[in-house]
Amino acid sequence: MSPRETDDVSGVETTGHEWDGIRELDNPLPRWWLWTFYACIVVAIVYWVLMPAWPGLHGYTHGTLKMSDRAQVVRDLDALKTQRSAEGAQLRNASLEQIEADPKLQAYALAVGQSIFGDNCATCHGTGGTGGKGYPNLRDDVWLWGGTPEDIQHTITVGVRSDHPDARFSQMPAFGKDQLLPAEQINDLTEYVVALSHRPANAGAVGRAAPIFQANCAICHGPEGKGDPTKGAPNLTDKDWLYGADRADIHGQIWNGRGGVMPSWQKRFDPETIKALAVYIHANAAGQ
Amino acid sequence: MQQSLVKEGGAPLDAVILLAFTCLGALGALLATAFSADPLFRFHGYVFLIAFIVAAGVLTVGISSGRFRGDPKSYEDGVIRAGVIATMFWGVVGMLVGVVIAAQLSFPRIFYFPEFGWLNFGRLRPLHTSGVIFAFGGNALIATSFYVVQRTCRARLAGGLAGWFVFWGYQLFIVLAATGYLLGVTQGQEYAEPEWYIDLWLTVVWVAYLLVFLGTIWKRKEPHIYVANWFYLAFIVTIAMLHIVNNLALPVGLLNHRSYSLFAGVQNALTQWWYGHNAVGFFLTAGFLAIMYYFVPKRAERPVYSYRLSIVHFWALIFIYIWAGPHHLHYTALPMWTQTLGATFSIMLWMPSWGGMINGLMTLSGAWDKLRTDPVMRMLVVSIAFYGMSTFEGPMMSIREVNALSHYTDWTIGHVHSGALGWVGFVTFGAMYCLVPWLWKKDRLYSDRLVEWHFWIATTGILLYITAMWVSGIMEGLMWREYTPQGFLANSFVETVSAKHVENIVRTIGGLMYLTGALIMSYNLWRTIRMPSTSKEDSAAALPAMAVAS
Amino acid sequence: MTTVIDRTRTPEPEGSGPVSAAARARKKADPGGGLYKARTPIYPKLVHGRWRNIKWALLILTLGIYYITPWIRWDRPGHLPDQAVLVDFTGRRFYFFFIQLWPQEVYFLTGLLVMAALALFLVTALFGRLWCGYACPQTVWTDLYIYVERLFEGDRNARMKLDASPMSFNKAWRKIGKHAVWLGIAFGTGGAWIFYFHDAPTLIRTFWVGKAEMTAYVSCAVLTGTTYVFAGWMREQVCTYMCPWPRIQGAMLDFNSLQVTYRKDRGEPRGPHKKNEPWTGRGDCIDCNACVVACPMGIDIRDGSQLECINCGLCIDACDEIMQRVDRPRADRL
Repeated sequence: MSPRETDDVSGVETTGHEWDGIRELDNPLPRWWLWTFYACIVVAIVYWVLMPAWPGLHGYTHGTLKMSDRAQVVRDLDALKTQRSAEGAQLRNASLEQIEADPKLQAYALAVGQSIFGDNCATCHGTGGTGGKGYPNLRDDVWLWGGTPEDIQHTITVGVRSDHPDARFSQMPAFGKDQLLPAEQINDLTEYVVALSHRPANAGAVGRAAPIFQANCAICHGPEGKGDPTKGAPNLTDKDWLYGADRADIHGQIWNGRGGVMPSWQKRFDPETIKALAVYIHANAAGQ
Repeated sequence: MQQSLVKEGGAPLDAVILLAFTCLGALGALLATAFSADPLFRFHGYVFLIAFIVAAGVLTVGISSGRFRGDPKSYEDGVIRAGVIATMFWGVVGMLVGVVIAAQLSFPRIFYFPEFGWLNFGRLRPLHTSGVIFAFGGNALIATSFYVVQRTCRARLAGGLAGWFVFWGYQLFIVLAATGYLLGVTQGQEYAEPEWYIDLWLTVVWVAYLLVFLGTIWKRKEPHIYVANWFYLAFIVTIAMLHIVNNLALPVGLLNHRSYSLFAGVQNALTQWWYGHNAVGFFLTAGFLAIMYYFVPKRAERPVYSYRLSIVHFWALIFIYIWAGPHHLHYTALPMWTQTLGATFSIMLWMPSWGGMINGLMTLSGAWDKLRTDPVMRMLVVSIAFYGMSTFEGPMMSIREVNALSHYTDWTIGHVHSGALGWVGFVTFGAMYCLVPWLWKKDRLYSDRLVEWHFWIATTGILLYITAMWVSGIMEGLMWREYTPQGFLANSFVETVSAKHVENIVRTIGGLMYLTGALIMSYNLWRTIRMPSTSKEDSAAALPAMAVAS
Repeated sequence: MTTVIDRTRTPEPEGSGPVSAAARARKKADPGGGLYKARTPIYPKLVHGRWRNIKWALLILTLGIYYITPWIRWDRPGHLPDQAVLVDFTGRRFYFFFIQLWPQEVYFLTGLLVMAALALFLVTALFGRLWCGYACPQTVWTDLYIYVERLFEGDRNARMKLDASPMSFNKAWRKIGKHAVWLGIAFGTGGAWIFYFHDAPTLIRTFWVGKAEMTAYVSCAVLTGTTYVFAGWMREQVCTYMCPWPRIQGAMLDFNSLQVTYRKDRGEPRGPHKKNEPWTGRGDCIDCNACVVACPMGIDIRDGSQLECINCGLCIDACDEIMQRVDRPRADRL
């Protein structure tokens, strides 16, 4: 222990302790520090008086404001319901045609649909609804399961290959993986499908594949390959490809026969919300 | 164990005990590996096995060649040197992972690796947080605490090889935790992700750490315990308590990596955030305040500003911090009264936190001109400034009404990083810049200019980081709560994510600059270590008081 | 002796200086003991000169911008507000003259903040703590409060005498008047703040009849309180203890930064000077303490660079006045 001495620079005494050359000054604490500390304690006490704060043996102090998060949430949700109710009721009672015919109701449905779409559908179909590989584009006029408002409403309700008993269902066979067709025939079929969409293709292969197509593919895709919305079979003659347009993609699809899953939304949304979604998706798509 | 230090001839007792321990450990790891049907558990069994075999080998060679006989007339500095190197190594690794995940958030198309599942954001994110907090920060705390406690107690580190056991045991914990994260071994609790057997291992290491630290204080030749040691002790003891309570869990089987927490639902959440917040409070605040309390007065060559302030703010901080955890769970299933208590205790925490800032800062009065000449001093000063800012921002964000806007947004990330990069990072850098010349007996660093570069690049990096996160957090908060006139949410979550693209890029650049600074520093320190030794022999004051023969 | 802005590269010798005037004052004020210490009051003396004039000009300019901005009108089409600068939290829009920002466009703010901060870094590295001495709200409002204090209680010596005197009618009305005006200014500060968030002409009516939003009253009350406490009571303590910016600024200075400092080479050896005595063999500093009594931070600039110094330059003005009187060159004539 070294003696207390005065620090030259500050004129303050040290405590007389020293560790490895470090000494301590004996400055008192600044008073504003204490006052601010007290002020914080006062704020805390005021808070405790106003709000639910201290637990006891039987429950807790509820505070003079009687605030409750749960009650507040219920109030907020009720307020939202009231805000939505007038137009929401109209939505429930109107048919899809009626909604689309009434500009005011349609605007409301669009607003609801947009809000719901963003947090539920955009994950797969994209924020703009333009889809991606394996996720259908909802902005064009190509519809696997039909593009009328009613078709869309039904697809949203039951889903595709979902666990809903009435789900939209189709299954393209995995011609290559399951060895339904030999590899060279799948190569020929690939050329045939390329030719179907009006692109240059190997004429010989196309010729060889024509009977194979009629025997294996035409059942769903139609003899001309134009697809069938009732079976969920895509049109092969247009420029729209769910799993990619180039030869490797088409070959891969014939080989693997992929099919995506869309959940049924019936349990998540009430019927008017699904209506609104259908109106929203229909309004933003081209055609049909 | 102390006896072994003075007993001549024969193998030192501490080394023999440690050898027995590692052999038993190797046997246990071998059995666990052999009988486990769980591939992840088996992998970690192999890690344990390898570590124990290598340790046993090194110990055998060391004992037979007559090493490990510590010289009571000098300080145990080897383990601190290793700690400095480990700090810088894990710091660079942790920050690099941080930059990678920041890039993943900015450019998910480019930095997404579907064929390498372990490189996904979800696996890398805990690697970053634990890497910088526990690997970088933890090594810095262990190394500096071993340095400070020896100097301020004028006693050699207690326990002989126990210090080395703490060091290598902690590195093993880091490797187990990090590989576990990548493989998917996780409890899913923030900052407490490692599974039950890794937790048990850390408990063993941590108890050894506590005993080494206490033993050194017990042997001290100074009448009083220096304030830095109070803070180190508070950090070690409280972390032990937090770690054990939050990780109470029941393993699925003794040979299975999975476990279930003893707490369920909201109790689990509250325990987790009681732990999580105090990891900030006692690891990142109390521990690093200890660093500040030694290195700032030492570097500035000025006395600590106020002894009374250090007492008052220490006890106020220790008492109040432990209650503030519930503010992480505002507006959740947690009862509202608990939220109120968490928020009010956080508000009361403001001045106790600032006590440390005032004491550190006012210590510099009388040495203010040093700031113009000493870049290391600058880092220490800026770290204190960031400490002050984040300990003001924290209580503010704990107020429920502010939290309603800030919670779950990038604002929280910004707040954490102003503390982590500004305070924890800079005070550690400052301490390391001091330690390397002292430990390797050089009279200066290789280059002060490089320190300047480090300082400016890192400071600008922090600036980019926190402004970007601040703005993006407030933007997110505003967008989330926006309703359409019809009463529906105006923005979907995806839209808020794409809206902060620019901020995410700015954040990545900021992080990259911070990492660049750390790389410059590593180079500078490496060159310093490789410089020819210029420092004179240790003066008498730099040596411990002679150990008393027992 | 004169204080000048200098670019000297010579570091000050460490620890060799005399016990500072501030340290002496502190010791006198605090006879020791007690866990807490009240603030040592500072009575800055009014000075005249170049730096004081710049400070007055900036005070008028910055306060003018702050009070007038919300009243500027800007025609916008339709139902959009006609206030030039408006932060509309309810509508979640930010209006700034011709710019209208939506919440998702706030990233502009990132750029703005980063640029502002970098500019501040640059200015600090080149010119020192200009922000602290001239533009910081804490400095500006404290300056205004000291001006009011001077109106009621007179300059330094009168104020010190008044504080030391027992309570009397004279003392009471001066003190009450000062605090009333302070509170008025504080209220005006809080009041102006809320105009940035609501249509100002509407709010000024609804505010008085109690029909404004609760947040408006609360923010106004909080800002009134902080202004009154910070500028009236806390003053230099905010800069010394609470604000993080001085430390960061301190860390950004190097030997090429401009800094207000005492030139030992010119001033020393200092000492009283009688008329007609020769100036040879001594420094120009006549130890008149003019720089010390002028300092709003309560430090003695002659003790070297200190963390409290905000670089306001008032000590230069104080010194220049004295130097002219004793016929020595002013700081800027060197």
